[in-house]
Amino acid sequence: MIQMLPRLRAFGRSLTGVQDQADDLVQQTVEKALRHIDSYAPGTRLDSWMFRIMRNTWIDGHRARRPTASLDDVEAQHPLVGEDGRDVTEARIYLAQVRKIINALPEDQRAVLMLVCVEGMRYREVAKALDIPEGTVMSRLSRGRLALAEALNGATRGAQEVSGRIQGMTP
Amino acid sequence: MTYETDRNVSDEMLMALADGELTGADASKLMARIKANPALAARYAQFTDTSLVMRHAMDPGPVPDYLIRTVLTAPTGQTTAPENVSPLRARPQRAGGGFGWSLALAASVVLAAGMGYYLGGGNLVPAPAGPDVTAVLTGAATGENIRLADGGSARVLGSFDTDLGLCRLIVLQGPDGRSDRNVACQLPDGAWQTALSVNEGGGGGFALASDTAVGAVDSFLDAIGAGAALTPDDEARALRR
Repeated sequence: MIQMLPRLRAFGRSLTGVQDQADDLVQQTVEKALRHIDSYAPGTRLDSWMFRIMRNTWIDGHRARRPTASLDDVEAQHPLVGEDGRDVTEARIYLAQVRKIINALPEDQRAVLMLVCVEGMRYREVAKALDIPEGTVMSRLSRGRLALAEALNGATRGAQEVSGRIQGMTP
Repeated sequence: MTYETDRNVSDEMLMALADGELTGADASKLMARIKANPALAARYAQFTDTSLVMRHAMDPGPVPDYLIRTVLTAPTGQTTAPENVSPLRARPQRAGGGFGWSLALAASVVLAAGMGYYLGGGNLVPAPAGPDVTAVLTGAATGENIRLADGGSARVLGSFDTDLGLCRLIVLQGPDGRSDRNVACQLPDGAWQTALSVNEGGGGGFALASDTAVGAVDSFLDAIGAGAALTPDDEARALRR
């Protein structure tokens, strides 16, 4: 389960849109999974079982809540301006815009984007973990990527320029 | 596979190439076409660029310690607990006393379930150490390599004072070459029980990478409050107690 934490966090982020909330959701999911470990069928996929618990937990406890402003939003609206840090600040604003675009995608597309692009899972693994056909993983992933690319083209600079900017950015 | 025009190359194929899912001759041919065709290259770039941007924008950072601690310490099997009551960020605190054997059981279950390795062949209860191993645990100093009756061997890697009492880390190698790292702890009545067992390879079949196995054992030792390994003198005194 410890090894599974990164993909649980990625999946949680696809649900919550904010990493802090995602980590809280992961914690709740782990606690719930361990409490109900008797209902886990050995030999089946543990990640799939835990994704289901996480999604149910999210639906039960979080979705009805009022959305809160994320730090990204605040940062985008009130950027830190300074001569020396201008490039870093611009890159951060751009990444905040990217996050807003990603958060605006449908949840099912966000989940496969997070698991494949961020967590590096194979299409086959994602299909099994989400219990959907591999073709569905690919179509959701493709639609999400093209929507993201289109939105990025409409943003202040193109992905090509950004990739160079990002690589020079201190995390 | 041949490609007559750009239209014969689907978005899914370009994406699969960008994600490393398309390999071998198909990947080489498609890559050659992309290099020779700017329109195709632009479509391909949509997938490589979005992947790069995703990784940077959504990088979650390292796994927080409190999540690892939750996995190691959350209670198991209390199926009557309310479904939706769970405090946010209720990071487990170690307060004075020990975690007791419930922690050992939790960690055993957790690691066993998460890593596809089951203690005692599917039994989720910490297994009592066998007579051979018990003899090693009580009689062997750190560093000693002991031959076991079944043709395997055991080697003690360290002894630790922990919240569970005296625990010893040993590597058991079976006659088939399979190697397990075990943390065994002494119960108040003097008997030994295996609190954690992680397969670190050998003998074919599923196994964790060695460094992952070591990391799992380290995390467990940290969680039960183990400090540095005991010195030979302290270890000898602890074993005589």
